Amino acid sequence: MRLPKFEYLEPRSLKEASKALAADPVGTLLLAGGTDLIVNMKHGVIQPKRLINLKAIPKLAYISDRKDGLKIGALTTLHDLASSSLIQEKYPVISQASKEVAAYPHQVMGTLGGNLCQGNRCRFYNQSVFWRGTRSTCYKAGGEVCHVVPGRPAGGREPIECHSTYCGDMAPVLIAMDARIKVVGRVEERNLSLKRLYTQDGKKPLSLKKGEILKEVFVPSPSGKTLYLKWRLRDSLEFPIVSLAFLIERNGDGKTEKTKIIFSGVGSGPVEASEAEKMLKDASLDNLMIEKVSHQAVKEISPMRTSIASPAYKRKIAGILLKQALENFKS
Amino acid sequence: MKRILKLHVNGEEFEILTEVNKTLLEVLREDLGLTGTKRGCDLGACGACTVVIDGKPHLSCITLAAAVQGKKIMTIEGLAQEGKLHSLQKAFVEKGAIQCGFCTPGMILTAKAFLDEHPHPSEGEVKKAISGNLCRCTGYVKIVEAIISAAENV
Amino acid sequence: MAFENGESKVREYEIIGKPLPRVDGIEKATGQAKFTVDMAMPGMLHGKFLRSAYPHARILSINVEKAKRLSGVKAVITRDDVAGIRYAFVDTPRYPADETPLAVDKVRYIGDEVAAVAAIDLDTAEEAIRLIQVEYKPLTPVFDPEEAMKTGAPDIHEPFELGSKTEWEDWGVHRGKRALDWRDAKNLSGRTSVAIGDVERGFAQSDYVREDRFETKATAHCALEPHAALASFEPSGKLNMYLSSMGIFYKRFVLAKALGLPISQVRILKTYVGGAFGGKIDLFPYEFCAAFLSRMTGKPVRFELEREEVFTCTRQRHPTIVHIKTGVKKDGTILAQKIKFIADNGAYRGSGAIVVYLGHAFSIPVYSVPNYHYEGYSVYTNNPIRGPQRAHGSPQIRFAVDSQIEMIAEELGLDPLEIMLKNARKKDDILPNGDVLKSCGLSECLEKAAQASGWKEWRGDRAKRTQERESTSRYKRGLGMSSCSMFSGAPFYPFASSAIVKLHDDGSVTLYTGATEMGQGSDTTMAQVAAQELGLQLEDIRVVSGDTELCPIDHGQFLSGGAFVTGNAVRLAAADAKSQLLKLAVEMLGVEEVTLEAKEKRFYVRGSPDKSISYSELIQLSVQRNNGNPIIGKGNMKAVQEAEFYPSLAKAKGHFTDAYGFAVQVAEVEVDTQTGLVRVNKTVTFHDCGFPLNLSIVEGQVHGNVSMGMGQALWEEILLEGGQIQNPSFLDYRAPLATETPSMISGMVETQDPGGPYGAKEVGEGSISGILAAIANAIYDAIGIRFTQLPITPEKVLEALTLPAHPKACLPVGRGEGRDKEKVLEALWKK
Repeated sequence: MRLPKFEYLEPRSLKEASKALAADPVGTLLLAGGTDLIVNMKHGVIQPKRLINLKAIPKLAYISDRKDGLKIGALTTLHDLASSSLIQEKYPVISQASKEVAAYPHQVMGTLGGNLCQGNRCRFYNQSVFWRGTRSTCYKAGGEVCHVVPGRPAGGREPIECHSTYCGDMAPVLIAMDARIKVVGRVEERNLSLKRLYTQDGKKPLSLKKGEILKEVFVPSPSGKTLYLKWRLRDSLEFPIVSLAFLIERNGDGKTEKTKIIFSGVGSGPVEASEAEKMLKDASLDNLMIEKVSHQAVKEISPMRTSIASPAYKRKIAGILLKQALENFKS
Repeated sequence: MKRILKLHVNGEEFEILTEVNKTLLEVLREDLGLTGTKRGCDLGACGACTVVIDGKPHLSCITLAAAVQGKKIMTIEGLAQEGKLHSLQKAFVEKGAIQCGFCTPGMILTAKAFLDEHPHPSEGEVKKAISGNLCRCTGYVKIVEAIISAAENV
Repeated sequence: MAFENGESKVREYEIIGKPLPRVDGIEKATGQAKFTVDMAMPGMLHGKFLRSAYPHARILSINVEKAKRLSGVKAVITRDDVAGIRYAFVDTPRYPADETPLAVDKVRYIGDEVAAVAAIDLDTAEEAIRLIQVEYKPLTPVFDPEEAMKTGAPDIHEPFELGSKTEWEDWGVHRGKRALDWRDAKNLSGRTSVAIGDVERGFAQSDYVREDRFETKATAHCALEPHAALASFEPSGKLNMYLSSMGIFYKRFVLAKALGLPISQVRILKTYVGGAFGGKIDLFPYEFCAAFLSRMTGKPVRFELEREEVFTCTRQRHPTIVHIKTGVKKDGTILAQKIKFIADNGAYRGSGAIVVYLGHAFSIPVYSVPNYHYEGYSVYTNNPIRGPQRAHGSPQIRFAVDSQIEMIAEELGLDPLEIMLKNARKKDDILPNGDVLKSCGLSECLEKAAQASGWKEWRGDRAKRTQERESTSRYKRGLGMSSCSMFSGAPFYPFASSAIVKLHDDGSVTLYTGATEMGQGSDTTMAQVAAQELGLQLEDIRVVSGDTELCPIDHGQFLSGGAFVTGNAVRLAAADAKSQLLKLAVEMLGVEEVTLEAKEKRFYVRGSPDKSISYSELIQLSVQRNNGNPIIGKGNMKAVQEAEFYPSLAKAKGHFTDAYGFAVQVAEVEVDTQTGLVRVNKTVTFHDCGFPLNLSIVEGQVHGNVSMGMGQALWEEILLEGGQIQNPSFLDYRAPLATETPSMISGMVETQDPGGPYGAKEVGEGSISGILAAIANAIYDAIGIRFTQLPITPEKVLEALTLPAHPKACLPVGRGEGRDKEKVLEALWKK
């Protein structure tokens, strides 16, 4: 599959990159590892006129241990995260999750920033020009209809929605750990929680403003235990059908102080099951509670038919993953 | 608009006049005539296009040639040194880990990069390392045997 | 994982049988091996297709003017340019060729080729495709084969007048009366009917009768090298083609016929083939158009299909619906069996007419069934085209038969192994079509597989099994078994293999064989046969293969005849050369022929090692004394001795093959009852391939078969919605990765077939078929749930596990579309 023609830029600084991006935000895209972007370009769902290679900018890849937490440059590769002895020792779930992304070469090429900012996915979107030519162009690809919910008339009065699914592995883990990100624009830098990066809007999944580029992720020192459970059919290569990052902090009496339940693969962004989290506060984890919480968490997700796995199956698996996670911490 | 790309491949410097929208796979095969690196799917899902860049495996079908200028690229043609086979190549041949041979270049290079980093892997670690390289002929059994054998004999 | 041949008597030869490293190993390990996709020629044009986005539509008009005018485009062709040309894998008076290089009146599936472009580069070709305008009138499509057979279904093909001779007539079959009355339902592309004994009486005499329905889905070959072809013409008008194929002589025949060229004017040159598995036999539009466009433009033309095109527009395995009713005595002896085998052909016949024959032919050699009735239907639908895929029909029928055997065993309180042993065919059995099992190690394979897998210990204690099955533990393990059979060559053009052995001055050899090296190791095993025969080392043999100009005819690699047919031809060629040398040696040494022993390129007198003569000397002598005869050996082997043509596909009468290979497989699975995930921990395969020509290569073939079978049992499915493939990529089509590799034990049962070279017969295709039922049976053993529909995905297992009650009898567990057993059986025998 041939790539379309584009202009290729190698800026020398993030500010320069940000300026170039802001100058033509619709026609310019950022290239990091390329494992997502280049595939989408071959499929013709994105047609950038210009590509900015972030890997050409020095000093954007680093893992830095601070007293209060970990600073990771956005261009740090997943492979470096996986093999960092610092991370393996102090933040093992980050290393584990990195190893679950696709396969070995994708981890070498792929970056943390790229993985966090990966494009949403849908079985009607991530296909070739020929494949999509059997239907009208979908909303996400620039058309007026969403094939996931057919029957909704184009040009109708309700606003059209894109139901494409967020399938990243790193986001649920880092959100569970209360990660914060540093975003660099033309003029200023912004700090925000990673969770706020995601709009839950399939058409425009990231809240980045014009010209903004993710520069750094900060992970506070872990206060509890975090698990990452990824469900897919084969043990490698695939995006999650459903995945779960689960964090639990217990107080001195063994009661649950804080939990985080973040899913991937079930919504247009990482999905937090906050009501289920509330249920767990101060609770002791017995079989009944585990059952209740899982049941509740499943109610808080609405997977759509955006992949070959059915929504019903995704809900089942989400419940099972949470049960599995909770079983680890049974009272 | 064509421009000159400077690529360092198998120890040699090449200047290639080509379009900037070419993938490394296209440049290797079409401009440099190095057909050992294969196109199996062109979308990064089968590993047949794997090359080693700065010691690590990359999928050349989803790598822009322009983005890897100045880096050390090794294709399967550059693995054997002065006619002497690398221990992995020897092991693959001796252990019967090659059938049609199409996945072989990518598979060997992935294994090489992996063994360079993990010289004493377990069978499970080997399987995980090559899980991005699809093989339809061998069922992977002899491939894993060959890699473990090469690791033991290095 | 070790190769276990401890007890079986694998004969020791010096070369043959030994696990010698492949002769093409180094070439492939260093990236020097050239595949079709690696070939390029100066001035080469690139070809692309415009494909239909409709599953069924009439073509009203095609406008290529804009495309033709695009700078860099050298030719654009449509139906007008290739009018009247038809070809197909099956082309007989009863089943005339139904494919055209480009769509003529209609498009019949999403992906159907409508126009082709040749341009100076791929970007220009793709742009040209975008400029072609086609007006379609959509027609009602049909995607379900049972629906397609109903009276009201849309006609996918209209009957047409038989024009020129069909392929079979070219090969000598007489046209006779073209019977159209075999079409007893709509949209049929093939029909096979076999009746033996009295099946109703057999059922009446049975102590237990059961009927079940099984379903399998379309699967993909996933050969890693994409389909490709490069065509160029010499000034004399001779066509040279590089193509990725597995039967170059057959391909040459069809290509020459379609292009209207004399067969000697078409040459297919050797390239290595990056896997085929049955998916590269048919003549494809891209091959035809490469040649056609090359002739038109005077330039070489290359087509390389995208992976999505390979998934969509080449071939797939036939999805099947198998209804099977079996009657047994209470000791498990099969008395009667009635089978209805429905194959969803897709938009063109492909190999439909053959697969419905093979659903019978690959099963009848396994168990002895005195009263038997088989009806096979291959049906046109507007789905992608189905064709041969590894074991072609055998996986589907064996899945059905052996799943049901286990179900019968359960009801009768027997061990399925007992039933299999009781009914297994034996050496010297004569099959209903007259084929004789001159060697048959099926029973021994059953015993050995049972032994190696700990079958009796596991299954022996039924109470313990039931207890484990019904326990609350999360992971449950089970064992399952199945057996299968595969032919070793069949009568199909060119009906034979031939080989030439040429000796060089130094006593080493060049072997010419038309066989294609596509991973199955034929270059190596054939070299081993020649080396063994001539007392040479493997290094002394150079192989020239896969070229229709340089090599004599070869049977092809799609009929499992590599070892049996080609192997025999090679052995005979080597023997011919050897006898010429021996004649001279006898003269020179003054001894009897029987005293001579061939070793190290010399003939030695046994017992007198100083009395010898080298091949070198003998060749010199031959040249000097016999008017320049440099010693060339020739050998040939007909595929099936007593058959001229393919057996009657319609009635399954007539010889099919001269040797059958057998395999028995046991799978050990572990089911995670929490998630429905099934892991295959271990497989045991015992294979009767007569004699393994190269132990390492045979083992490798078994591993590949097990992996593919496992994939197709558990995860692989070409998902279709409205005739469109939902997962045409390696990301979403789930072929096994290295992380899914079970521990594989394989063993040989050596039966030394009297017809095969060194006793060798089929290997490389058979042992996929036993894995599917073995896994399904193992899952039943583990959790007590019977799955009659493949693939057995975690989603299906989870759904079944969470049903309120597990029905013991079969239920095709689909995506929540529960089927009532009674309704299924009611509809079972309705036409």
